[in-house]
Order: sequence, then C-alpha cells, then structure tokens
Amino acid sequence: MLRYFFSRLRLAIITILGVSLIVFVTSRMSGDATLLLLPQDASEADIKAMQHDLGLDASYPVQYYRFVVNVAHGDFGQSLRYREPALGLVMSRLPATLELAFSAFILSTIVGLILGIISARRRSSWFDYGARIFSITAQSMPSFWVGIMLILVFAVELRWLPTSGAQGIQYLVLPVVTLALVPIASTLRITRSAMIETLDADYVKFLRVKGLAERYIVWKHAFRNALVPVIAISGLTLGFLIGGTVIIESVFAWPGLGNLMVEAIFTRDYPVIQAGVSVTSVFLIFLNLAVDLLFGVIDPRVRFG
Amino acid sequence: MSDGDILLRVKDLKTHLRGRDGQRVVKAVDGVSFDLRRGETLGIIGESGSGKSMTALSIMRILPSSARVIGGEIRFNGENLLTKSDREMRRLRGEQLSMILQDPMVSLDPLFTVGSQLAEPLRAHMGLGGAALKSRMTELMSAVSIPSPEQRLKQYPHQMSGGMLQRIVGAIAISCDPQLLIADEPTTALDPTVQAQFLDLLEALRDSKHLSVIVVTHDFGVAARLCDRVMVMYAGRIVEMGPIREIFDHPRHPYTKALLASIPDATGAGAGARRLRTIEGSPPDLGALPPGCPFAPRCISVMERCRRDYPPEFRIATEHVASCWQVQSQ
Amino acid sequence: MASVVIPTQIPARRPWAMHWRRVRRLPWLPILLLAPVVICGVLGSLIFPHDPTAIDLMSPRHPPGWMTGGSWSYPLGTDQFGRDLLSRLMEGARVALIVALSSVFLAALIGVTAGMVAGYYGGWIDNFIMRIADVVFAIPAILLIILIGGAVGGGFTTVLSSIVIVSWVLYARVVRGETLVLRERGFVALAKVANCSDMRILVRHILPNLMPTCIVLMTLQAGFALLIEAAITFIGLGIQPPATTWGLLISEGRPYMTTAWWIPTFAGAAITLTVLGTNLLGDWLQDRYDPRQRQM
Repeated sequence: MLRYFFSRLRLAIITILGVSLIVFVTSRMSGDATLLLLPQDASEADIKAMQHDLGLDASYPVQYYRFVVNVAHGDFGQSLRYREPALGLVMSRLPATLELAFSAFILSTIVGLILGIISARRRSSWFDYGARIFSITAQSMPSFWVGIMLILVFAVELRWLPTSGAQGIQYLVLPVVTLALVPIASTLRITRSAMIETLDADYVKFLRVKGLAERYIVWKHAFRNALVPVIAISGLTLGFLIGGTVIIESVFAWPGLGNLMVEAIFTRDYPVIQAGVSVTSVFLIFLNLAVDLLFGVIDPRVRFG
Repeated sequence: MSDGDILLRVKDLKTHLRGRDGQRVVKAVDGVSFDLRRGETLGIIGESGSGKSMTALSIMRILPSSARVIGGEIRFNGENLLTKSDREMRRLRGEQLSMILQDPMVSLDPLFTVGSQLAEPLRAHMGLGGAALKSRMTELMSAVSIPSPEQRLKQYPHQMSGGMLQRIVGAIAISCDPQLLIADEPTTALDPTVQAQFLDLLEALRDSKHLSVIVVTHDFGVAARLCDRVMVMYAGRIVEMGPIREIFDHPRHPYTKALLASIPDATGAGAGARRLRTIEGSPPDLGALPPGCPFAPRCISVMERCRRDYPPEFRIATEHVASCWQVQSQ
Repeated sequence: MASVVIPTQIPARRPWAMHWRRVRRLPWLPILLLAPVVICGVLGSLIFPHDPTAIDLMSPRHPPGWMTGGSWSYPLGTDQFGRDLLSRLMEGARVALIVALSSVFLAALIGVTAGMVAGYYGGWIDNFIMRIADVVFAIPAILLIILIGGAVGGGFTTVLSSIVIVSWVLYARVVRGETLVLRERGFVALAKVANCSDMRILVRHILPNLMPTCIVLMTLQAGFALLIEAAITFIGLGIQPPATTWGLLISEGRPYMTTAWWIPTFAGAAITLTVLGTNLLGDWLQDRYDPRQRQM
C-alpha cells in the first residue's frame, strides 16, 4: 500500500511541475507585458529598464526557474486590477467556490447512485428508460443555458428562488442543481452499468448458490463492486465540477473563484488568471491523489497488484 | 429400486430463454427426465448449447433473468422444488443443494477475503460464530488439502492460483454438508496439470461426505473418472442414458458414438482430460428447431423418419436408454 | 401426482419497449436531429428566410409566430434589432458545423497519432506522451482555455485550438490502449516478418482496426466541442460578433431574458438538440460496432 501511495505521489508531483510549465509558457504568450504597463511614448531605455525590472530580459529557463521559486513562496504577482497579491485574492474567493462544488458533488453522487441502483434493479421499466432519457439529455445541455432557463422559470416566473447572490441556503439551490445535473447523469449511467454487470457476474451466482439473502447479496457484494468504477470517475467528476463553477458562478453572480477569473479575462488581469488556474489545478491533483488512495483501500487488487 | 433411494427425480423439465431481441424463444431444456439415486454420481455430457448447464441451473433455480422454467417437476427428497418460494429455496441452497461453478477466479467476490466468503454460508445456515466458526473453517480447509489455512483465509482471490481457488470453492460448496452437489465443468478452467488433482479431491470428498453428485461436462475423461451413470444431451434433450461402462462399450445413439469416436484414445481409462473434437456440421439453432430429431442434419445414419418424427426413448438394457429410430429397428 | 401451475409463457416485453428497441436499431432520431444542422451548413445562405444580419427596426423583439404579437414572417421571433431569430439560428448552425468538424478532425489527427506512437513504441516515448496527456488532463478544460485565451485573446482560432488542445488527450489514451493490444496480434507479427516498415504497419494494419473506436469518439466529441464552444463564447473568449453562433445568441440574449425569452431559449435548445443528436448517434455506433467498450 505504501508503495502504491508513493508511486501515485510521484506522479502527482510530476503533473504539478508540468502544470507550472504550462502556466509559465502561456503567460509568455500574452505578448510583451512591458508595453501594457508603460505609456505609449516610452523611450527605448525606459522599455529596457522595465523589462529588466520584470525579469523579462533573462533567458527562458532562468525565467521559469524564478517563476517556480516565486510560486513556491506564494508569489503570483499583483492583480493588475485590484493591486493586491494575486494569490491572496484567489484564496479569499476559494471557499465560496468549494462550497458550490462540494455541495454539487454530494448531491450528484447520492442522487446518481440511488437512481442508478434503482435503474439497474428495474431494468427495462418505465423508470429505467426515463432515467436514461434524462441522462443523455442532461449531458447534451450547455450548463449555463440550463442555469439561465432555471432562473427564468424558478426565479423570474415563479418567484420561488432568488436570481443571484449568496446570502443564504436558498441562493445555493439553483446553482448547485444546475452544476449537479451533468454529474448526476454520468454517475447514474456508470452506477447502472456497474450494477448490471455485477448482478450478472458469476460470483453473484455463487453467492446465490450459497443460499444467501438477495438483499444481502445486493448491498454487501454487488453494491460495493459497483462502487469501484464510480469512485474511479469521482476524480473526473470533481474536475468537471470545479471547471463548471467558472461558468455557473458567472450566471448566478456567485462570489467565488470562477467569477473572479471571468472578470480577470475581461480586465486582462493575467496574474489573477495564473494564480487561479494554478491553485485550482494543484488542489485537483491532490484531490485525485486522495481518490487514488481511497481506491487502494476499497479494491485489494490495486493494493496488492 | 424403491422411491426412498431416489434423491432427485426430474420429470419433463422445460426451460426457455428469451432471445436477445426479446422476441425469439430458445428452448434451452426441452423435456428432460432423469433420476438420481442417493450416493450416485451422474454425469451430464454434451457440447456447449446442449442444455446441460441450464439443466443444472434449473435444478438450483438460479437462472438468469432471461430464462424461465416453463414446465415439469423437480422432486428433491419427494418435494417439488419448482413450487417452492424464494425463501424456501434459499434455505435449501447451501444446506441441501450445492454447486461448483466453472471458473474459480470469477466465483468469488474480488473485494473480500477468501475467509469471509467461506464463513458466509456457515454463519447464515448453521449460525456459527467465534471459535466454532474458526474450527469449522480450518476443518474444511484441511478437507480440501490446503496448507497453512490461517494464512490463506486472510488472502484475496486474486492472490491465489486457479487450482487452489477451486479447492476453496469446493470447501464452500460442502461447508454445510449438502446432500446434492452439482459440479458444472469443474475442471475446464483449470490448468491441465491441476485438473487431475481436483478430480481426486472431488472423489475423496464425495466418498467421505456421502454426497450425491451431478457432474456437468463436455469431457468424457472427467465422466469416466467420477460417474456411475451418464446422460448425453443434445439440443436440450437427453439422447442417451446409461451406466458409464455400458455407454462406453456399447453406445447406441449416433451422437454418442460420434462423440466417443472423436476421442483419440477411447478406452476411457487413465487420468487426464481428453478434448472432444468437433463433429461435422454445427450445433442447432435452439430457437428454430426443425421437426423430428435435432441431430438429423449431422447424423451419418439418418433415415427418412428421423427428419419427421422425434424418436421416443427406447430401452436397450435395464438401465440403458436411447432416443433414436435406429435403435428401434435393431 | 398433481402437476403444478407454472406460467406457460415468459411475459413479453411491453409493446412500447419493442418500439424503443426498434428505434434503437435504426439511428433515425439522431439523423433527424442532425440533418437540419448539416443542411444549413451545406446550403447556407441559400435557404435563410431572411438575411441574418438584416436589421428591421420596425419589428424589434417580436415573439415567435404562434404567440400574440408575433407574425409568421418571423417564425421564431426577432431580437432587439429586429433580426429574424430563425435565420440567425440557421447561420449559427453553419458555424456550429464548421467548428465541430474542424476541431474534431484536428484533435483526432493529433490524438490518434500520439496514441498510436505511444502504444506501438512504448518505452520513454510512451511515458513522455502520456505524461503530457496527464498534465493537460489535470487542468479542467475551461481553466486551460481561460489560461490560453486570457493570454492570446478570443476569436475563431482560439476557440479551435482550445478545443483541440483539450480534447486530443482522450483519443490518445484510448488509441494507445488499443494499439497495445493490437501490437501483439498475429497480423502485426506477420507484417514484421515480411519486413514491413513500422510506418507501414501502423498505417496499413493498425489504423484500420482503430477506426470503429475512433469514429465513435469523434461523434461524441463533436457534441462536446459544441458545448465547449458555447461555454467559451459565454465567458467572452469565443467567436466575436458580428459573427453568429448559438453561444453568442444565448449570451447576447441574456439581458433580454424577461423581454425576449425566446432568444436564449431557442438558441440553447438548438445546441441541446444537436448535441443530443451526436450523443445518440455515438451511442448507437458504439452499440453496433464496439460493444465491449464500457458506456459512460
């Protein structure tokens, strides 16, 4: 188990380094930052001086090295708009985003599992076909459009829920539901096919040969086996959710990290974009590491190869 | 033979499968009747698709969801299993009726230790726990000759070899002292080197626990080792049935003859499995059986009558029957 | 001995369930959904009822034809400038087709090549390519796109390259797995014995076997591309006005949600129906040609 953990950890670290490289490279793609910061009529000398200040006259590897060192100290530069350290800004908005993402994760996992299990046990029933129609439709809808439509129906027409903001539980409902829609669909489909596969498996046949109760077989054995692929995709699901918050926060004016980043696009506040993407990616990588470990706990084949 | 001697009496069993498109009906088992005496070992022999496994699953009543028993009787100790409720069947399975499946690697749940899976029927049927449970498990492990049982019981299925796993499956199957054991292709998924060992084990278990056994196989070698009587199945029906020696020495149905003839060394003695070579033609489509004998298209001694009417059972000797028009004319 | 009552028939599936089976057999539903997009894409301006850019200040914000205040000359209504929504939707279909097809082909080209090379040669090439794939995959798609788009600005090229960068990974991973298996097959060994060059083996022998899986992936990714494009446009990095895309229609129509709800609604419905079409088609193809793949 320890060896498994270390191999996954090593992979995570390599990935983090790779991400830092991508972040660095893209930042250098945005054209010469000096020209943005200096007035139009700056002289050659001024430009050169600014370049030196920003460290842009060094070679690329040196720049990258400095970049990594800075980042390791938490320095992503200053937000061009807010004139605050970019990292601090990002971290202050992170909790709101996590609230959204995790609520949606919990909702989608629970609902998806339940619906998937029911679908599997009642294969080819109304319920099953309805669930599958729902799944494939949910995965076809643009999330921000769903958000807008829900606002239209529930907030504007019916006035049951507020349109935007974040002052209480009722503000959480629409964004979380919008965000959770696609993961519910994928969790449902995976759970359903996993359950069907396990219920048809030979070891279930053998469990029946042993004369054990059906409910025991389903919940102790089949369900646990079906969970394995679900856990496997939970890392992907979380990634999708965190990406999705970017869009959803825009729609619902949720004061989170995603909103900050969309704003930063409009104001060309690149340090904030950099900081936001980096923090989110690192967070996700570690989350996936945790999922891998959980996997190792649940499935002995992974532990003992 | 008195009725008290008969452990299992199957009469006219019919099991149908719904085909993949939801429309065609496949007659997997089409009117099978046989008896099993206490202490006897009966072999069911046939190619895949002959209905042998379906027969076994029908007796245990663990058919896949697309299959249903639609007719007949299965009397176990005089009681008809087909009328029993799920709960009653559950009690019978494991305690009175048991089964070994083909591939040990998939017979056990990969997420649980072998020990926990051995304990399950003991807990459920015999209510064992604690020290009694432990000693029973150790006892069972030595009955199937597994060394260092303590260690093995803590392991997971993927950590063991096929041969050892199948022994454990065997231990689980007999754990509650059943009366009837069905072995569905017990050695097919094992390495050839291990197959003979497992057959030895089956024999030993059968003798020491006084089991009545049904062995489902496509391999005459296995049947020769273990069985007192065999029944040969084709297209969901029994085509010939009789004592093993009799069938080997005097097969009467063309299909049986063909099966035996395709074995390189047909003396039937000696250890080791013998593979069946295929017979001319292909197995019939069970969803669209022609009238008359289903073997007619492949039969070398086919007559006009064979294509029209299905032959009934003809008695050849006290215990030997075959369903073939050829037999009648001899 | 009394015989026992056993049901003499296995209950047949309900009739509508049989219809569902037949529906699933021919992909007519996805074809129905996708045909309009393809037709608009091919025939283009020949069939627009109105010029999508034609402004008619006399008829701003008309509701769809079947509602009061609407007229059938503007069947789905107009926007704030009096432009016909139906025509704009059709124009958007053209763009959608171009974006979907080009991004899918490019991503497949890169991904399949990478996957084949990684799977076939193994070793450090495999490691290298897969690490790159891991890194790209570790960043959520939208964030990666923001990273790139924030640096180089918006527009068609950004949209196209973003989608390609984000989606090639899936092709690479799947193709690599399949190549690993195919590499061990008999016909490859035969080709090697016959002194075929690696390139030839890859293209003439391995690639054709990858086709079914690739086609399924490409179909599903086409829908994904449309969804991503819409999302990118929504956050301002996508194709800019005066071009028309469905995503733009939604984001431009958002302020008019209460006064002209049909604009964002129908635009979003167009996206949904098209992506539904690709998803259904992809599922159907998968059932037909690649049944061993696990459904997602």
